[in-house]
Amino acid sequence: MLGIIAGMALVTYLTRISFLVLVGKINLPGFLPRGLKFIPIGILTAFVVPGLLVPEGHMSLSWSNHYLVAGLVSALAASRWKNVFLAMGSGMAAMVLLRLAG
Amino acid sequence: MENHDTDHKALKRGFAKMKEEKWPVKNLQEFRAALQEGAPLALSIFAYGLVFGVLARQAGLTYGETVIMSAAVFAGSAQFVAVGLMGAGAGAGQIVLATLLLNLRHLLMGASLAPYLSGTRLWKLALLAHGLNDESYALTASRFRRCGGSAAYFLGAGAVTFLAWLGSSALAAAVGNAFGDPRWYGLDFAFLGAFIGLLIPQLKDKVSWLAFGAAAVAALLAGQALPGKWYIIIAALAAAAAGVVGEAHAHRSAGHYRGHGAGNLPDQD
Repeated sequence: MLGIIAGMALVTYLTRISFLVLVGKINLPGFLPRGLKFIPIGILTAFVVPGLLVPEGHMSLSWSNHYLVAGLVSALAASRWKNVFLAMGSGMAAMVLLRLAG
Repeated sequence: MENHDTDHKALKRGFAKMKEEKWPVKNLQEFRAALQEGAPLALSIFAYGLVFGVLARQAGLTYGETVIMSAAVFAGSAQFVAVGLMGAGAGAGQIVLATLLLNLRHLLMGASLAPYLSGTRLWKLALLAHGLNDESYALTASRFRRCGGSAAYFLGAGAVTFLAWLGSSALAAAVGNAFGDPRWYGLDFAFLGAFIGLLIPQLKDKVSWLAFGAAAVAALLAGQALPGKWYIIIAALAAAAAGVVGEAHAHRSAGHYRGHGAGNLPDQD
């Protein structure tokens, strides 16, 4: 068991450190750094959009999808106040209310 | 000779002072900012870690193994999959390979933070690397975009997420889930809500919306077509490609229609 854990830890650490060190040390052609700037948006979107639209493994575009409704509440709060805690808290509150109501 | 020595000493004192006073204050501020901004995400990780601690014990891991795994691997989704595979009797090679594939997204995260940390010493990067995860990345990337790079901020983001994950999985592995179903508190939405809060402020011009749209479509399609976490990597690459093309296009139109197309330029604020 500890051997499996050590193997998991090793491969995970290698994925973390390799590009963090290498990309800083080598000169990249111009379009790569320009592309890297958009990776945060890509990764956040990859969690958020399927998380809201495909919450339990199948796509749901209706008001009965609580994740989607709570996500819209969070998005409104985020664009209004630009505060992560408020965005998260308002969505969680919406989630609790939706579950109590439904 | 004496004069030279004094100058030299004064210079050394000056450097020492700078090291002792100026930098640590800024670093401390960055570190604290990471703890504050990381608090909502730490809460979501804590809820997730409680579930992991319980599942790991159910899959037959001892308390010690659960804690060691959370400290040494520190990768939520890979750990969930691993204990699932262990429960199903999978072999060591299969479990390690699944872990590697699930965590390949760290490559892109590392690549995207690296340009901000090019002045950081190797041993520091080696330490910081262990704190790279979905949540600390989301925090750090948004911060660096707004305020520039800081190893201290990245350290704080890694530390707060690490403590939340380790603390909660250790707690739940010891006492079981004492808090009941996290869904009762809306905690299953905490992660999404926090990520929405980090994403929305980054969508401030046409090019970033284009990158968002490309990533959204790519994530949905790849999520249907491919197993595991490939959809995250595909979406990140789609956003990067769309961003580069969109920026090139915006610059070209700005060159042709100076004065008319200026409203379409990125980074106008």
